[in-house]
Amino acid sequence: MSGDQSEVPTKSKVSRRRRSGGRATRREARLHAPIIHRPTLVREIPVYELLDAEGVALVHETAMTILEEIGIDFIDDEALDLWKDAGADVSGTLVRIPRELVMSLIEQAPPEFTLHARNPDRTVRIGGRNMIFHPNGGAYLCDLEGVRRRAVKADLPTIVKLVHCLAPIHVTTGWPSIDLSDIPVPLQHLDQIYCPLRYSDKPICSNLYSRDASEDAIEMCRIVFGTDFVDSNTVTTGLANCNSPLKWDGTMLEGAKIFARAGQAVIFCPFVIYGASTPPHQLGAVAQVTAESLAGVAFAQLVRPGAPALFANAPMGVSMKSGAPTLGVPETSQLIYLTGQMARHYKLPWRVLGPVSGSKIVDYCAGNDAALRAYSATLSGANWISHSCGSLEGAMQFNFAKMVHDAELMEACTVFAKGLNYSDIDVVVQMLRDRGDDSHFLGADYTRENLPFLPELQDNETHDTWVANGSKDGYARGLEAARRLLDRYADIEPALDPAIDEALLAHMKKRERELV
Amino acid sequence: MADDDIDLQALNDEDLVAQMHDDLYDGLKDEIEEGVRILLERGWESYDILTKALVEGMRIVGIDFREGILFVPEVLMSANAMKGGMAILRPLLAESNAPPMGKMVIGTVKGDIHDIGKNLVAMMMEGAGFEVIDIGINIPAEDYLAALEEHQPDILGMSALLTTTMPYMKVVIDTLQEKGVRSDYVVLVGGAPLNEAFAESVGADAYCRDAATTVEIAKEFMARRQGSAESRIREKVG
Repeated sequence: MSGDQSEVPTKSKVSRRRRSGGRATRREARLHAPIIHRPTLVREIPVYELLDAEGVALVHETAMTILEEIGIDFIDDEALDLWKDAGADVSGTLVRIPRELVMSLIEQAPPEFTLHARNPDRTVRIGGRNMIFHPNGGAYLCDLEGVRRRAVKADLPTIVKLVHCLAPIHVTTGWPSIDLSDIPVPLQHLDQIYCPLRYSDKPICSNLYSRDASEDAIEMCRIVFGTDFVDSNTVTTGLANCNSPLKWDGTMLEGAKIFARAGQAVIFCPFVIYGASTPPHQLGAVAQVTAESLAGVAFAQLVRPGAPALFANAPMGVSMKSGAPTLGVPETSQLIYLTGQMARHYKLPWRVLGPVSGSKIVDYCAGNDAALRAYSATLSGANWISHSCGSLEGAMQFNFAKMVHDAELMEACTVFAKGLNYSDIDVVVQMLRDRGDDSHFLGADYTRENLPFLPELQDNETHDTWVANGSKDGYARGLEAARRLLDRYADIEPALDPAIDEALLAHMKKRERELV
Repeated sequence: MADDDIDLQALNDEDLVAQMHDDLYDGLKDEIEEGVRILLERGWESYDILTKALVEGMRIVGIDFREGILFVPEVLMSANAMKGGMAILRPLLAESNAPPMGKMVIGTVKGDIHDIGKNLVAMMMEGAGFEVIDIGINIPAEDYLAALEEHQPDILGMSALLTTTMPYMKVVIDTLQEKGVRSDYVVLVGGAPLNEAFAESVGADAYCRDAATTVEIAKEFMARRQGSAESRIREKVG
């Protein structure tokens, strides 16, 4: 901050403005503004913490009691051998892990790591004060015509292209994006890995839901990044869900082993339905989640010491009228904050389920769920916010209109997390001194140079103006915006070396023959 | 920018006017004043400079404002540049027989001190070439009448933000009726809680939903007034 009053750019002291090209230039700049992909968001605001030190100690103690005394199932013979060799008490599939063992293992997990993209400019940092946004999908697609249907192979490039055009979204999506109903299940993962590598140059997530999918993900990353690079760097992340309560199943563990051995990151995420898969008690639920996720992170270290792994939680509630999961309920926000606090206690990077909604359409419920979860995730200091755009029906539906709405919400969270401007107070005081007869600052140079956040998809105009503009609701505006963005993809399509593309396609052909 | 070095003197009239449209768009007051002076030196009528260079430039600004391409602070810069040009032209226009762009008295009604919207309208109207007399906030009917009497505007503009103060617009308009001067003025009303139906119910000529729309509506009414004035003259002459 400058104490020299002569440097304060007040109305009368600003230098003469320069020509900027008039209408043609401004129209071009505003109508065809370049899509500037956001770098890793570095949080500059404090986190919101619900637990005091005693609370953290209580959750930790409870989690350790769960791991030591109650134990957790690992339904995988190799995993059980690894635990036995490490000194855990293994009985059948039940593993009881001494706290010293858990703590020494999770200490080996990197508190931060880099997730490389094929374009180094899109590479992101996971952990610490870093935050990134990643979309997930569902079983159904609500398409650009507003039709809810099963997705097909041809939809995936469109989804990836739209995600590529969404500037605030850091990681693209192939998996988990959407089921491709016209491709046999054992082959779906090939397109789900290929499309994000081909149509975007943002970092990718891969499917570890089977041995074949996991191995193909690593192999296809090697084709794109080079074998040596993949061996010594993290280029993809897989999601392993704990079958809560207290059960890691064989499918997840097999994929996690393949990823961890290859030095690729694994998100160890309990599937939390508060009151159903955990007891309805905030501290107890987070203690359970902590035990489950820590066991996963520790397991990855048994496979490969130093393997990147994320602590995680995907908190949902449950409707006691039907058993349906609920999203925008207060307990899920509490669990988000508690999980963040525990992740920081263990110095682990962590992931949380972001602005997903239980709604079937883009309506108030969708917006409520999304906003509550997005700001909770932001204030909780989450490093990786999943389902960051497009998820409805409790992640059963991927919706194009909601994708762009959520991206705007993520942009708002980005601005929020970047924190406050502590400089310029002297300018502001001077503006108040100089206000003259103006009762506003709309015409001030400082205002023009520091435009507040401008939501493009919300309509805050008067009723008559809204009617004059066609009385469009949020869904209609979102759908229009999605179409407009997709029209711009051709301008920013990231090139992929044709030889690499050919090698990827050849690998897929070969695997299709082998897997059918 | 390369075009920062443009020598306005070196441009022919057509290019200079086009450049002035761009300079208005960019909110460059000094450049607009220079352009106005050059055109005057070249023998242009003040009315032609006003309409062809300034008003046309601000019309373009208005279009892009309504389309969401220009933002409020930028439009205010443009309006300010326009005012710079108008300050040079106004005395010349007064001397000529040029039809006036229009004059407006504007104020926020009694009981209401919320005037950001009103000020925005005033700036935009000035930017479009109107002469605007802003009589401020918390204005009782008698003060409106006194200002109308004093300034003889074409347009009276009233604004209110509160549902509790907006009915006062009817008090003002009824007073105009009682005094038999209602038809002397175009009465435009605006403010967040208003709508078309309210404007109609209080007897206003039009509801202006935002600053850009106000300018368009005001221009339409001025064209009608001037049109009818011209036809009256034609009738007399004929």
